[in-house]
Parts: sequence; C-alpha cells; structure tokens
Amino acid sequence: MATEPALETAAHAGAPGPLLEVAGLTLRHIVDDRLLVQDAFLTLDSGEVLGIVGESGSGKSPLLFAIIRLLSREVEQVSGRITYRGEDVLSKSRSEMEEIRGLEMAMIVPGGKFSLNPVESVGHQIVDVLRSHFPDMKKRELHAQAIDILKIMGLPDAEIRFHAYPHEMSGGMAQRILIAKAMACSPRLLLGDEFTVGLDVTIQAEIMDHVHALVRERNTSLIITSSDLGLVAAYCDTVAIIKGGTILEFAPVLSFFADPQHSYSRLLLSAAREARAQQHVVDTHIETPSEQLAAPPFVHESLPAPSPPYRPVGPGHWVREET
Amino acid sequence: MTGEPLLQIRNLTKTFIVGNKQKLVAVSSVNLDVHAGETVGLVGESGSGKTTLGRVVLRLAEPDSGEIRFDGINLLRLDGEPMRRQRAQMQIVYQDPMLGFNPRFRVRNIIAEPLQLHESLGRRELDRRVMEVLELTDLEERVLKERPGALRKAEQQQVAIARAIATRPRFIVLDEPTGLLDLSVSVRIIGILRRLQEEQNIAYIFISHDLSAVRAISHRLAIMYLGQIVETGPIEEVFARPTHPYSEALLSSVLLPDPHRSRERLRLRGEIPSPIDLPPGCPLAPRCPLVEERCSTGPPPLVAIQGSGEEGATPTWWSTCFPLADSSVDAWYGRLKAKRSGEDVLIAKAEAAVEGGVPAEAGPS
Repeated sequence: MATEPALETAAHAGAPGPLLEVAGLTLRHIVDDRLLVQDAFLTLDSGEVLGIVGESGSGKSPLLFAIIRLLSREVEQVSGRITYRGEDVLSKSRSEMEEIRGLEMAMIVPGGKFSLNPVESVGHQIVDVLRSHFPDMKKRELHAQAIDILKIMGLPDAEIRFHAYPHEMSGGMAQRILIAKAMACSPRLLLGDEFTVGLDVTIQAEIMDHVHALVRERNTSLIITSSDLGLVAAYCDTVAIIKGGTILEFAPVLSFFADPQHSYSRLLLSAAREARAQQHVVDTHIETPSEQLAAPPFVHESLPAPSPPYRPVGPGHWVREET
Repeated sequence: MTGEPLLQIRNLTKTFIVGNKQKLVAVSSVNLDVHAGETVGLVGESGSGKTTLGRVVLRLAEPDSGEIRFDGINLLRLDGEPMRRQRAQMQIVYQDPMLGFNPRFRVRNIIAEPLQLHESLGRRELDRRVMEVLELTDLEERVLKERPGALRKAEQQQVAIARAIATRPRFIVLDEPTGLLDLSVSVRIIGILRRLQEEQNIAYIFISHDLSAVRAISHRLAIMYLGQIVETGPIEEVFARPTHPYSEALLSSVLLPDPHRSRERLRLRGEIPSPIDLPPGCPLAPRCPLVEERCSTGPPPLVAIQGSGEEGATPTWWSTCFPLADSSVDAWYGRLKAKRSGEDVLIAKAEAAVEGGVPAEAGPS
C-alpha cells in the first residue's frame, strides 16, 4: 500500500547504493553554542538494523532527529548532507517532508502513554496517521487496517482495545501503540529513540521481538539509539559508537563484539560485561552457523566519511584513529 | 552463611486500600533473611512490590501483619524514641537522590544532618566524621560547599550514600541506586558500595530491575512477582538455573552483550495483572506456560532446591511452584527448556499424531 509521491521522481528504482547516507553532519546548539554532533556519518541498507550507542549527552538523539528533520529550532545544521534513496533530505520543502514522514520514514518515540494523546482512543490515533496519508481510504478500511497493525504488535483483544484510552493501558501496551503509529503506513525507514527505556526486561524483549520480526518481514530498515549493548547485540546488524558527538567506531555487530577497536568501545563493552558477568549461560544455546547465515550480512565496504580519521580494520569495520 | 541473620522478615504483609475499598496486596506473606555483610538482590517487574517491601522493612510504611526482627529485636514492637534510635542502624538510598535532599542545604549539612540527629558530637568530631564518610564514598572535599543541585547525578548519588553511612548503619536498603546513571558511572557506584560492604560489614537489600547491576553486587537473589517472593537462593545458582517459571521468564529476557547468544526465552501470556483482588493460588497461574489445575487451588508450596551446597545442609534455595514440588529438578529443567525452545509443542503434536494414526507433520505450523 506504500505509495511514494514525495520520492517518485527518484530515478533509481532498485538502484544500488544505500537507503540512507549521512555524511559530514555537524549540528550546533545555538543557545549554548555547543557542537552536538560533529562530522557524523551513517550508512544504511534496506532491511538493515543499525544501533547507535552512546551514553547520555553523546549526541545520538540529535543525530537521529536530524535524519527525519525534527530537530528543535535551537539546533542548527552547520554542515553535512543526508541522502535518502538518492535524494537530498535537507533540500525538501516542509510539505514534502510531511509526506515523507510517516510514509517513508517514521519515528518511534519513547514515553508510553505520556507520548500519546490522552483524550483520543488509541485506535483513532492510528486511524489519524493513516488518514493523513491516505485521505481517500474508506472509514471501514481505516478501521480494519488500524486493528491489523494493533494485532501485529501483539495487542490482545485488538477490537476492544481499539477504543481504549492511553490511561487505561500499561506502559508496555502504550509503547506498542506508539510503535503501531510509526508502522501504520509501512515506512521503509524506522527511527527509534531509546524507545524501550523504562520498560521491564520481559516487556522490552517482547516488544523488541515484535519490532524485529516485523522489520525483517517487511524489509524495513531500523535505526535505534541506545546505551544498552545487550539490546544492540540481540537485534542489530550494525553498530555505531558515538561519544561527544563524534562517531568512533562503525562495524557489523558480530565483528564489533568479537573485536572492538576503539579504546572507548572496549571500555563500554567491558563495563557492560563486568556488570553482566556471564549471566545465565549454563545451557545457553549457541547459534549454529546456518542460523547466522540466515541473517542478511550488512557489510559497508566504503564510508561516507573523510577517510583519514577512519581506517578499516576488517570487512565493513571502521574505527576512528585515536590521538 | 552461618549464625543468626541480622534481619529476619517473617510473613510480612502490606495491603493498601485503593479506590472503592478494594484491597491491593503489595507485599504478601514475605519471608526473607539478610545476614550481616550480605547483599540480597530484590528483583521483579514494576508493580511487583519490591519498593514497598523495602519501605516496610524500615517501617517507612506500616505492615498489616508479620514480623521484622533486626538483630533479635522485633521492630514492630518499637515505638517513638526507641524506633527513632534504631533508625541510625538502618538507612535507605533512593533512585533519585535529590528527592531525599533539602535543596537549600550544602552537601556538608546534608551529610552531617543524620549525625547531628543521632549522636551528640562536638564540631571538630562532626567534621572529622563528615570527612571520613567523604573519603569512604570517593567524594572530593570541594563538594562539601556545593548545593546538591550543582553536582552531577553520580556525585549526588555518592552524597546520598555518604549520608546513609554517616551513622555507621548495619543495614541499608538500596532502592534502584543506579537506575538513573549511565553504565560506566553505575559500575563505579557499585564498586563503592561493594568496598563499603567489605570494610564495614554492612548488609544490603539491593532493589533493582537492572539484573546486571544486581548480579554484580548481590550474594543472594530474591525474585518478586505480585507481592510474593517466588524464588530465593544463591545468586550465581539462581541466575544459572532458575527453577520458578517466572524467574526463568525474567532472567531469559535479559539481553547480554553477546550477539551469539540465543534469544530463546520463556514467554508468559499477557502482562503483569493488577494486584487488586487477586484470586487465590499461585500469582503466576493465569500467565504461566506450565500451569496445571492445582496451581489455582491455594498458596503454592515452598520447595527446597538442592544446589551445589552439601547434602543435608540447611537449604538456602527456595522456590514456590506446584508442579515443581513433585518433580525431580532435572526433569523440571527439561520441561522449562522444552517450553523455552518450543520443542514441547512439536513433541505434543508428534504424540497426538501417533495416537491418532496420522503421520506427524514435518515442522511447526
């Protein structure tokens, strides 16, 4: 059902090249005259799941918000380009962006029920998203489609819950609604800003499993920001480590966890491992090679980054030189 | 652990009356021992009653019934002045330290306040004691003159710990002390807490839903679900081979920084229900994938699990589960594992097919 009015002109259906490319992105906070993100780059293929990992204040959220152009007015883009399906996102007009958001790329926000409209039923909030992009859709269709997406997100009794208000839901259920809103129009690119923070581990696992299965099934790309390397190890194909607004390492997940290169990456990983020791491993089942092959490998042989500070250390594995 | 526990909690129950005279059982018949110098990690999902249990143990909330013995003294019999004096021995550290500080106080006064309330010290002695705890908690002297709001989150938490240990308590409830901190900082705070414990033999109840932090600091683990402790035992053993289906579901949901680890986990149906007007029986029964008919008949039995400890020694590992009561532990692990991997469905299908004389299907449908 995904039509693509905003990007239909792109002369590259099935063209090679990444789905998204960010190069040399520098963002500055106007009020405190501080660089939030410096010379950042990203590259992402269709169906790929990328995790941007950093501690609070590292610049991972501004980087994510810049891609979908939802930065606050206090943040100025100093330089850089963002290319989505071969087109320059930054040159899009406001109305073009409105078309792109929701249909092409969508944001999963954190915050559960506090991020939903408190006075509208959750089903109607999803219908609103659909209607704004498909004005010709019949009421019954909209309703059916919203219920479908609620079911896909694992909401029990979706027909009844359609009419529920956010305050009647648990944090985990409300978070599913937020994901359902983002996924309603089947965008090609999903951006999730620490959207499982504050959820209990069982709920987080449940929700991430749903999102991951859906992303794989629809060949959607996903970028998540997180400070949790466990989350990245479990669900991402590629990982970018960011600190002080600068990307320090960019690598396929398997290669990163096997051999992190940057001293800060090693610090993060050892902190995570120290905290987690060899938790719950007695009858851990190790993925067999065939299962590993089933996951599409995403190896980025080139980077949209100035080469000198970054050097390759393996297939698709890049690290910034330390000074 | 040998000898008398420092803290003995017996049959502790706390209910709240909410809304239209409905009973919310936040803590239900809890038994727990904490020895001197020991950390008991208390984990469970939001709403499981961990924080309420921590508060009731310190009598920051009054329980309905039960017993709390601290160093042999029944705390619930104490009132007024004796209880106040007892509080010097028992402290709490919250997730957000700012909630416990007077924002207008300087850090020196925040740390000195409990000392002034509990001990009559001269100015010089007071200063000495403040400096002492400052050092114990890795704080720099400069913070003494600051107001807490000017400090970083980690420093605020260090001040909260300094304040808590000022009166040289023997027991501290740590209620998600690392919940708001970044990983590298949280590792440091846990280091400080561990060192303090070794040096001063303090007992901790460490409440958290961050299982990795719990594992890094605890000696024993207690897992709570809907107000009840469903399993308790030596931390490494419970982490390695949890026996209660809820423990298994919780621990197998933890994501580890290892991309090779399987994501198989025991799935519970739905979400944690409201703790209001719970039906009798095991609290997990409505969600449990291994539920049997008897599970909803009454309170589940307490089953001792033989861990690595010596045969015949006093058991330290307990689980509360009906089907586990008359199953060998190994057979039980087999069932849990089959449930986790989904194998049990295939086996059941194959069996049904054999019985019905229909050839078994090749794979999961």
